[in-house]
Amino acid sequence: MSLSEQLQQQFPGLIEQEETATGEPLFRVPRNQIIEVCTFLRDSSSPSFDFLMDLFGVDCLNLGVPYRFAVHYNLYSSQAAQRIHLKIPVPFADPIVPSLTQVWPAANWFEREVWDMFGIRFKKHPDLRRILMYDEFKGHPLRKDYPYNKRQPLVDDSYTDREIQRYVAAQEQVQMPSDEQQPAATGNTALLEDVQREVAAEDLTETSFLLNMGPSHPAMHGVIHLKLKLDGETIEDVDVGIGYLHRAFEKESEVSKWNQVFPYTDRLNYVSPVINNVGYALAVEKLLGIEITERAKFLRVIMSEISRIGDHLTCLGANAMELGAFTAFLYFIEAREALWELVEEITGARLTVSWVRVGGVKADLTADFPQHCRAALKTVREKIAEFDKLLSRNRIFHDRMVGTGVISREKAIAYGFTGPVLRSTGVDYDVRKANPYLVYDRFDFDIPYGEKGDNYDRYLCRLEEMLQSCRIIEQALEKLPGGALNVDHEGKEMPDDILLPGSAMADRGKTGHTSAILQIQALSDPTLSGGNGPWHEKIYPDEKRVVLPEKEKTYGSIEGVMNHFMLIMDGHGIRPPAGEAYSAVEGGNGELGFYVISDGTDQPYRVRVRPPCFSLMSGFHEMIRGDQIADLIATFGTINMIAGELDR
Amino acid sequence: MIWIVYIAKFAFFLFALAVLAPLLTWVERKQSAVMQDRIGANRASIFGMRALGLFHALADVLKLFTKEFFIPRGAQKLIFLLAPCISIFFALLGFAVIPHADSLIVAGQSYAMQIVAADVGILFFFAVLSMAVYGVILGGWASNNNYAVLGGMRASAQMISYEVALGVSLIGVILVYGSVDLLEISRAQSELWFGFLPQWGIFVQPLAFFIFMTAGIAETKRIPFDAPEGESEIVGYFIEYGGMGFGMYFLTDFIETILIASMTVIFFLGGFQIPYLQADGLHIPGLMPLLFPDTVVLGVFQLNNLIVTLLQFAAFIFKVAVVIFLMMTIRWTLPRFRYDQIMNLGWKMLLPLSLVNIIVTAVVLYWLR
Repeated sequence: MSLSEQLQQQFPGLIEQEETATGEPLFRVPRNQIIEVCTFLRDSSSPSFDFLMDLFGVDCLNLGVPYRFAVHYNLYSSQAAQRIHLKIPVPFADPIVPSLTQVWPAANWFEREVWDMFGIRFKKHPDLRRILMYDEFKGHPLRKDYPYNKRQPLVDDSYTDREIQRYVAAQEQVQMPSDEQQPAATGNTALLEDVQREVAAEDLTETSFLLNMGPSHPAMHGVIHLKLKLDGETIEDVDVGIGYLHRAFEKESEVSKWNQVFPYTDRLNYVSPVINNVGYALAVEKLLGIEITERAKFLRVIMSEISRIGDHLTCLGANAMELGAFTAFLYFIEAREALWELVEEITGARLTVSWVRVGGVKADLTADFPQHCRAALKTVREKIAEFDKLLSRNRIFHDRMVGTGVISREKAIAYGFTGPVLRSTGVDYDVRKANPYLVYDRFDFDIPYGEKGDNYDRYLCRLEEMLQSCRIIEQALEKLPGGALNVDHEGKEMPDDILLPGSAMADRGKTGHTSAILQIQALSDPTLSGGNGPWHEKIYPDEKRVVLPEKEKTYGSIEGVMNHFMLIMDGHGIRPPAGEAYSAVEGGNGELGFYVISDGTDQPYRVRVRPPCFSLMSGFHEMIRGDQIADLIATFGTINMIAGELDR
Repeated sequence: MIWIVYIAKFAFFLFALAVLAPLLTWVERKQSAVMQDRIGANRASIFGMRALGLFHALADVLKLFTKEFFIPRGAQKLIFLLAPCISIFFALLGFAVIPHADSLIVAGQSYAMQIVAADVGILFFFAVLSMAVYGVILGGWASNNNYAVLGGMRASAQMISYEVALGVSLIGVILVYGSVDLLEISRAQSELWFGFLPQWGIFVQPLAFFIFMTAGIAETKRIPFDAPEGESEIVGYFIEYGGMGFGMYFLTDFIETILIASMTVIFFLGGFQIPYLQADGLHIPGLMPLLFPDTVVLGVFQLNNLIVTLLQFAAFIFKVAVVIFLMMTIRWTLPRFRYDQIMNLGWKMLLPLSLVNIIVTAVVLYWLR
């Protein structure tokens, strides 16, 4: 029985199926049924959906539907490697939805974000506070009627006064206990509780005390605020505060063109920017129904894997450094430098590369790339071996990592963990294997997984994943279609006399000598975007809707000029058909998903990122409760929280 | 006359340490740079001279002196100011009893090459070392900062725990050499075993050497025992200190490193002794006729007492430098212990081992006698 039939049978007449561009089922569920439907899907349906991957809101103001908001649920079945999307219409007058926290604890933070961004409230949510925006923020920024360029003061003058009043009130309450209910401060009860706790801590019989860790703390990257309740050195409880690096990625995307979103995606997980680029491009291409060229697929795989190695190198190196092994950190940074030089060679940038385009990539490989790449991989392997020798069986390091930051498999799944942190618990879920995208199904590689779910297993998983990525890159270089770069796409070697510097060609074009240009190829570096006919066809599909024509055609033919202008000019550009699509890639930290909604214009209607770190951080308290302060640092390191994608 | 000697010695050692401690920061930077495939500090220059970055030590001190020294709100002002001074004072005091060479005899008058020729050197060393913990815990407490308190607590617990192992490990040494006078212990190590092996502590008491080194590194609060600082965890007991307040804590660490290294040398590496070099000259068993045919008669290559003293002084400095280098290599290789693991190592490993060491040493000595 298909999933749709099962749902229809269980909830007759309540659930409608909608059309998606994703090929994945999308069901519209009435809001009072969502808990039952989700419980059914988690426990009784076949296949059962064990992961709540994502939960987000959409403001449907301009979509022409009878409801104002929609809340989307993205469930995943690890057993059948299948996704299902649920959607609840929410009216403007009464934006309340039942909270899903009792079904999946992962919903906790996601729902807080929806409340923060859209003002949709969740019934019976244990702790509905703002999460990305600060408490004083007025309004809900992702609503379509909130202007994207509206500014608000970060903290108003009365803030300090109110803090003092709260403190005094809390102190009075402690001194003179009364039966009267304390009037709850709106949306900020936790702070009040902290103050109370602090006051209570002055009582000497109380053994625990409150420690504010971050945002300015060396291990918190300057962007995480932990309120720790400590008993001596043991952590009793923690409240994680995020949002210090919120850059309104999703809002900015809504006022950008489709290709203009790429620079913003660089800044999500800024340690492995290419993977973010690829994830977003795949989602948009799914929406457009474009098949990219073979070579471009291989290039994306190669660069993604280089980025992944860089990501893991940084994570493990920084982790070692935070545990005091500074030398090991610098060995890994040296290896990463070799990789970043490769990235620089291809993309022209080191950190914010913006290398992928809808329909292809910005630039092809250089002629020497394969040699450089193999040399760099050799360095990486040497450094990994050195690092392994220094740390893996080092007694101090081993004792610090084994048995700390433990999370059970069930809890990891319930919190929606993905990536190395999930795999360390023994679940071998990796998007590259489970739902292969690009050409990952053509390579021979393994997914390492652990069993105990502690810091040490995460460390070993990451270490092994880097070696597997090296294997993928080497295989991809072997199988790379399109061959060398000094041949055209038919394999014929190009004679020198039809080559002309790009600038000279542009001059000829501008002065009207266009007739000869069509036969001439631009003599320019293959890593420069656009300007090279033979390479252009290798990395871009024949898609006039999205792909800028090569410069030869732009300067040399009227069709080229028109095509160029149609893609560049305001109000034209890439226009995917109205619809929605979800695409996930395996990021450095886990499933990095992009849910894009188009209303048929040249700007995305909504770009939703499913950041892997967000789920990880929402379950962070489970991992460190009962551990020591020093373990918190190790655990925080192996989670590899990247604030860029956590706060967006 | 005696006062002039004291003042001269005191001025010399204070000056030597004031130069050595900042110099050690440079050594540490350069050494770590070599280990980590880096160049290391080399930017500071005077009139365009960079001198391998040596001026960084000077620049650091100047920077620390000119920085604002602020006292946080709610801090215990007097104690806050006093704490780093206590720390550095007791670290410096430890050098008073260190013999840098054998006594120098000038015109029939014997001059001890240590500031105070105390015959209870070991006890003095431990007394001073235990006082140093006050600077740390008072600084942590007076700062009125949770992190500082945590750091102070960790430091005090760690230093007191490791002093036990440190002290007990030395009892074996005291048993062997039969003295608590550092000069006597140094002198005793010039004797030879089987006619060729110098009776250095490391050969006589190998287990005690490892315990002493480990506990000694723990006393200096450096990696892998830097839980009290733990810059990525709790930043440390000196979190609220800026300027020279921080500078004094920082230098205390380095001075303590020199102190512990000196003590290691005295107890285990023969102190100022150069193998086969006695007060009257060079004795090499069996080889003297081959090397120095002229000395066959006496079996001694005669040397002036002043030259011997200078050679011993140089040997002492060299040995201390080697030990410091070893400690720094450890510091840049290992990760940091967790607080409870430090306690476990101190109480459950080092202390029982050092007790076993005493028993074995005592039994062997009794049997030999």
